[in-house]
Amino acid sequence: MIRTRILLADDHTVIRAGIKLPLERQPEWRVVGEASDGREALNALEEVHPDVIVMDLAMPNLNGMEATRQILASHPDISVVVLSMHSDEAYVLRALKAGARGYVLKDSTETDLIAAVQAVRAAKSYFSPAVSRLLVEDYARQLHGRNLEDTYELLTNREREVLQLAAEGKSNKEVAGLLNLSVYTVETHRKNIMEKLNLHSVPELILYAVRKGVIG
Amino acid sequence: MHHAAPAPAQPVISQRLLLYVGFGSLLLLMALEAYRASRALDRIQTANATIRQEMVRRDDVLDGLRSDLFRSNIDIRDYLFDPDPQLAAVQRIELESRHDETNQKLSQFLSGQEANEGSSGRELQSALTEYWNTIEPVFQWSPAYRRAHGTDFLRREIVPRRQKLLDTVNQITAIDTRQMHAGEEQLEVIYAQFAHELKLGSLLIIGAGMIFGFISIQSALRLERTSENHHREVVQARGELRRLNAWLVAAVEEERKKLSRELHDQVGQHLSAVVIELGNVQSGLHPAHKVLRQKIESARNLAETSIAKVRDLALLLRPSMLDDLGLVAALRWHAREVSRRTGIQVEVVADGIVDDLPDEYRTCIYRVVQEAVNNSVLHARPHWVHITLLQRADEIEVSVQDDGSGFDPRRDKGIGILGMQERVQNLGGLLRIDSKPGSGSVLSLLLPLAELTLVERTS
Repeated sequence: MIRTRILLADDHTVIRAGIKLPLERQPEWRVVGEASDGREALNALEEVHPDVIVMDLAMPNLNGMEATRQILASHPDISVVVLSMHSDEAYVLRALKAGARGYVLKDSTETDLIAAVQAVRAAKSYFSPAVSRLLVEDYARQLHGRNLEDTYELLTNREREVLQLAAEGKSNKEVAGLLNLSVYTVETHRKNIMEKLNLHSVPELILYAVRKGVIG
Repeated sequence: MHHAAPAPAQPVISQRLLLYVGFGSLLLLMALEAYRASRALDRIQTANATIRQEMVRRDDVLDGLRSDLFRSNIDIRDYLFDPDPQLAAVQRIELESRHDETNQKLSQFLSGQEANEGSSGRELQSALTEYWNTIEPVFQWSPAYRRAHGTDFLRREIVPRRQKLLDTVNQITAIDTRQMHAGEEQLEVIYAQFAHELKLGSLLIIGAGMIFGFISIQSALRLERTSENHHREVVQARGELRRLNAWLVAAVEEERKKLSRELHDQVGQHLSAVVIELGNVQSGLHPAHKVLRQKIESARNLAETSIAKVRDLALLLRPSMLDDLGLVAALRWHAREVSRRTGIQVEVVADGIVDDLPDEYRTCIYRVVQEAVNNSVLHARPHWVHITLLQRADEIEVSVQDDGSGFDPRRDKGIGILGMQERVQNLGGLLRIDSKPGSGSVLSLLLPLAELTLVERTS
């Protein structure tokens, strides 16, 4: 029985062929379609009904960022794992803002990609270890260099728990259930966290969590 | 047109020579004329004075002679008719001294005479000698004889001779007067001739001056035209150079973009495919093929290293963020890269930046900031570098500030700063560098966006 239907979007046939193999080796996973650019990926949605899209960022016609944004706008239940050559945080943040939950480098191992697909299927975020390591290092250097107080220290233990769960992609209701709190309390915690950390959106929150090594 | 430029050099030199010679000889001519004029005036004046002096002297002598004659006449009469012999003897002495005086005056007159007018002098001398010789016998006469024949002697002998002498003197005076008039006339002729020459000389000088003045004006005008042409050419060449430079900068950037893309999208992707395929082969192998798996692993590591190299190279050529994510993302990436490499705190402050600038603006700002940050990190050893972007309605301001060792922007103006300036000027912007040795530096650039929004609105 097929549990995970995957759509591959990459303009390089060799890459698609290369990643198709390990993905299909997973039990109950199936690559149901392939697209060579963002537009093709959009058009294939109604035909193949994917659960996960593995999306290259740099593609002709419609690039991966824009395709992700458009797909998630009409199909919020689909999860997107971005496949990228770039480890820089600007790309990571942009991908997160577009709605992708997984961010995998093209030169990372196939287990990395499999872990990313598994994570997003479980409604969690995933970043290639090389990416999260870089984010953590850059952030630490920035804090050290600027002699700034680590804002993470401002958070209470409960807020740290909420931060981690929220960054993993849990809804307020799920967080409330997991921590035995009311949804209202969780909402208040989230608001406080955003304020203390000077964050303005969920993608920024996720990026922060990765930078602090809370998730990765 | 361009190859014609060096040709006028030869005529310019010969013309300059002509002008030097012309004006030189003109000045010489003027000096000569002035000298000649003053000499001539001197001569005329001297001649005039000499003539008059001589005239007055001769006149004096002749006047004296005349009065001597009259007095001698009286003396003779007194001598002849004085009844007292003693008084007659006094008259005789008187007469003899009169004789001496007239002789003296004659010799005075003769000494002032020139050789060519000897006849009047000789005439005067013979008349005078005759006059005194006529008187001479009277001194032998007895008083009675003197009284009896005196009147007759006076009338017949003395008076005509005295008259003849006076006539001669008057004649000489008349001749002298004539001669003086002739001298004056001659002087007048000389003076007229001199005035004529002076007029001619002046005319010549004025004419030559006008000719050389005209030539100089022409030459000055021609020089002005030439220099105007040169100026135009220089301005044109500068414009061409600027356009060429802008084109070169754009071409280099385009080439870098292409290369970066090619490396990233082709070489990088293919290497990624190699890595993935090697992984697939590896996981498809039976665990027993230990050596083979290890070889594949090392091949895979090699490919991964190559990917990292290719990525670095591509980013170095032109960061893909600049085209994919915009200026601010690219600047932040560069800042992080520099921080990572050097440990220096490089920060980007870009609040409220719309980041929808066209490619050439993004590229210009990115390249200038990149150069500035690299310069700072390489030469100034700062603790921090701040990159600040400020966007206003019609302009964007970017500054790169550091707390490094600073420098003198007027002295240490390297090719890098010139390149930055060129880039900024190509977009009509301004680049400013404020720094002093020992007190950090601020580089700021201002790019006007007014034209840009206008173009975008119309398109």
